[in-house]
Amino acid sequence: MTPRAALIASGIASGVASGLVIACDADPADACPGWTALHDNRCVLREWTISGPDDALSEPGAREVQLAVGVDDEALVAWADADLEHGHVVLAQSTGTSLGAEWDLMPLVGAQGVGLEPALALGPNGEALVAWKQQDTASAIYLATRDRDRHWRLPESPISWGDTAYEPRVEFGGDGEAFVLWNQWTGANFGVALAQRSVGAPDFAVPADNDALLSAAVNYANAPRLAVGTEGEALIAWYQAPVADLMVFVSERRGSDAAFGRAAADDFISAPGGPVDSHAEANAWPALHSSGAAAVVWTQQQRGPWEIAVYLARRDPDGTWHRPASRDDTLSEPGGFARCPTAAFTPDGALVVTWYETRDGDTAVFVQHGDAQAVEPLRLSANAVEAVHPALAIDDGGNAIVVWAENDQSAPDTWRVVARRYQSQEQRWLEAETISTPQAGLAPTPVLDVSPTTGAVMAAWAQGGVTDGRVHVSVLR
Amino acid sequence: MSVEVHSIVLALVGAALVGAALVGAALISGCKPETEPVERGTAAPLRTIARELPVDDMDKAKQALAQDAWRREHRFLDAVEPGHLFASTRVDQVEIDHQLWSSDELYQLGGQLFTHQFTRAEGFGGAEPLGLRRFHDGRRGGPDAFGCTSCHWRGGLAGAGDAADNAMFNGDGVHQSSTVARNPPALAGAGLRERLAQQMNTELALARDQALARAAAEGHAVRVPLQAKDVRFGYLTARADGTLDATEVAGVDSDLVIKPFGWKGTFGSIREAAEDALLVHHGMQTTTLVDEGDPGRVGSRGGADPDGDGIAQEIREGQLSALVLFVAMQELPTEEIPNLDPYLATLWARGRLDFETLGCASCHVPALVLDDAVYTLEHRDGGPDFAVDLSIDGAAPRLERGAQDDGFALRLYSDLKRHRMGAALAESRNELGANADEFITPPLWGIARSRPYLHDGRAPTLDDAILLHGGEAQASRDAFASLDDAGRGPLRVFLTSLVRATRLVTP
Repeated sequence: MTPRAALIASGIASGVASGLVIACDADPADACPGWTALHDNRCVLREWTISGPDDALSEPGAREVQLAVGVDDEALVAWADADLEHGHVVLAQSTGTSLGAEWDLMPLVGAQGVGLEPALALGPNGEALVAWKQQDTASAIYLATRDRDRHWRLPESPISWGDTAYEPRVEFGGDGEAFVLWNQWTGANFGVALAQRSVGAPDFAVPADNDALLSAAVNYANAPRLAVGTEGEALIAWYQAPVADLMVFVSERRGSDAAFGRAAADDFISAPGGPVDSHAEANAWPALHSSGAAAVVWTQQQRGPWEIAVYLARRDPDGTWHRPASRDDTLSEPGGFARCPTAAFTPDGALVVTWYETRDGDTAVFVQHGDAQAVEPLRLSANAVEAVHPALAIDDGGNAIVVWAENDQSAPDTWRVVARRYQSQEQRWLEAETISTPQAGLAPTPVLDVSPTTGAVMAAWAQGGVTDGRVHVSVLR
Repeated sequence: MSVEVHSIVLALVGAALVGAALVGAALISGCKPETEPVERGTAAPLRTIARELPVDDMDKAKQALAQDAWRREHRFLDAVEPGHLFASTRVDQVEIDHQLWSSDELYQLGGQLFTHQFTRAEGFGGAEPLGLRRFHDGRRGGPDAFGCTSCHWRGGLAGAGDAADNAMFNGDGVHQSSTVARNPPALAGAGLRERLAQQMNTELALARDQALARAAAEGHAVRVPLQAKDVRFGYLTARADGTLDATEVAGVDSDLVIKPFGWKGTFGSIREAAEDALLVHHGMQTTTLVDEGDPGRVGSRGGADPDGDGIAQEIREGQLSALVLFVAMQELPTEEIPNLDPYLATLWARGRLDFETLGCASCHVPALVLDDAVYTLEHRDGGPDFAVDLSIDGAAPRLERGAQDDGFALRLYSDLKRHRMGAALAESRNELGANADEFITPPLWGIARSRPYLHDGRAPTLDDAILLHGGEAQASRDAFASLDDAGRGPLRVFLTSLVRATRLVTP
């Protein structure tokens, strides 16, 4: 009997909940469906730890939570402290043998001002990067680095230059090459700045001047985001106004020996006729596949400022881009107001895209799994709840998880974090699971990551109000 | 008259001296000291103002028309007998002390005073010939308006003012450049705001007292974080010798008393603000200010008429109490979600989240928990305090307790903390302990009915107001600035939903 047959035979195929035991007569562990583990010769659904009010990782006042889970089940969580006068970024490093059980907290105190917008990444060999924006009268990007011996080096000066820089992103390549990306003010424009550190190199190479930025020197570039593949390929996406409307641009590198291209002002991948959504939650999101395929998703006005749909541009492995034919070529259903598009490839090359959208006052999380020509978007969140801010992760077996924040109409200010898992072998989404205790306050913006080697999964978020919000984590054991 | 008053004071002092010895005996014997019965004087509710808000639109119209009819009636009476309207507000504190007036009646009396246009015969201005002084002369002020509603009108009764209604405070009396401009704020929810500040002050005082106790017990300095309602106010260091180091205290004065009123958070109570407003805007002096006799505020002529306009007892203590209660009992601003229009409903939903994701909520904290909604007006002369539960007796709409009986979620969109707002908003001088660029976070409840915006009304639109933020709000401002026009729409829609309940009025 296959695991799927076992599920059906047990009569719970449509109602699998965390902790239920799945009968399975296939001995090898890899025969178990995704998100289950072999235990006493049975495939047992892995369980989320539920984070209660007393399980917070931080002091009150946390926000802008970021997360990275590494190859050896190490996790880093960073957040910004809400104190607008003296706040700083706090880094939590998981310690001990059990993921998320013990943490060391380290404040990243920079220069004058307040630390905001943390971004972090874990490398393949124990290295780590944490970048953040230090906001004073000007804003600058600071970068803390950890070497293979796990020694931290804190910054004495910013990696950016000039008066204004913001929206940092950091990534590692499969071989340990490190990237820091941010939005840099040039005195006339905002441009996409990328600093790189080769494997073994002690320091980052920053752009020599404004001409070395990846975006055209036209108006303002915004919100660059980076995807890096295991073989050194990389894709950067952002939005910028070449003439009037904001459009999506990319800079790509097909291998570690290649250089990043500089996007020309007319070389955008979005459909002309209406601007892309300029909200930070709508930032263009790149995804890469080991075949050379790539994708970028974003949101853009379809028929006017109040109809904003998800759009997709895909790159074939040979490098050919397929842009939306027009603004009617949407990924999400037309007529809604979509935000927060996120994309990732499964190992076999299927693209998974998630977002949330509001239609007639109803706000729900959706997912598009596979070929958009053949598959309709699936509503992941339940009816009669407001569901927002989805985050997506996919493990090396192609099993996906989406977490989001939701509330119901009876208590619109009380939010919980909810997760749904997709079993690739079964080709189905399991039931939604609440992984946090409902709490009054702001809508959490959960983040999610999966270890590239062990499949360990962690979600993190800040829950509570502005002043009392604390960081919580939940681990898929 | 002065002899009579003097005699009464002497009699009271004598009674007090004797009473101190006789109270015990009086209690034991059950006897009560014989006093003159206190009766209502000239004050009278004129039914021109109501706390209640009918649900039905037709009933709202009837209410407005009835109030207008009463208003006209009493204007005629005032024409027949000038002073009738002012006399209707002349409640004595002793009448309040003897519970001759219900909270509803005091609300009406206070509202009548709030809507009254003061005259020379009532004490408007000072000894100078009739005239307005647009640029205030120090703490003496103007006068610059004949009544509260001259400037507090936008959005309804006790509302905000236009930029043309700006008060030009603390100048030399002649030059605009010598003044600081202040846009009249809306007063809705004022009592709840003061109560919230009181509860926060209690938390801060407790933290200070505990730090002092620890420092004394442990024999060394103790540095403690200051928090109230989870809002952070920096750190306080208590030394073993009982002294305090407040150099790290942030967003509140070193006395750790949040003063929730005034754009810079400089007035601790409605009474303090109202008493000052009567003085500097109208030249109407309360008996308390006269008794205090600060010549810089009330004038240098001394006695019962320090401003020399020939009128004593311009504002009685009871009148001030009624006015304060009227302001304190002001309605709770509401949030009108545009549910009927799918587009707007969608944008509102986005905007509510944008308010958080753009960082606006960092200072404009959407909700703080109010433990109780009992507003207590303390007696200033040892008499009984007057308490009113704003969740029951405040003007409608009222605050409602949460389902779990865990207090009230007060959705005022403020942390009641002072913040540094950057050079663009900085004024030319510090003010009462607040730095030149420091302002208390103004509540955003009802903001859609209170334009223009910012402390001096320089921002005609919400966009302008947001883009003028700086300092601690720079990152949020930049996040908003990075949005294109369409991207800003949802936040605008959300802020536009922060309104006051609709009341019908006649012109």
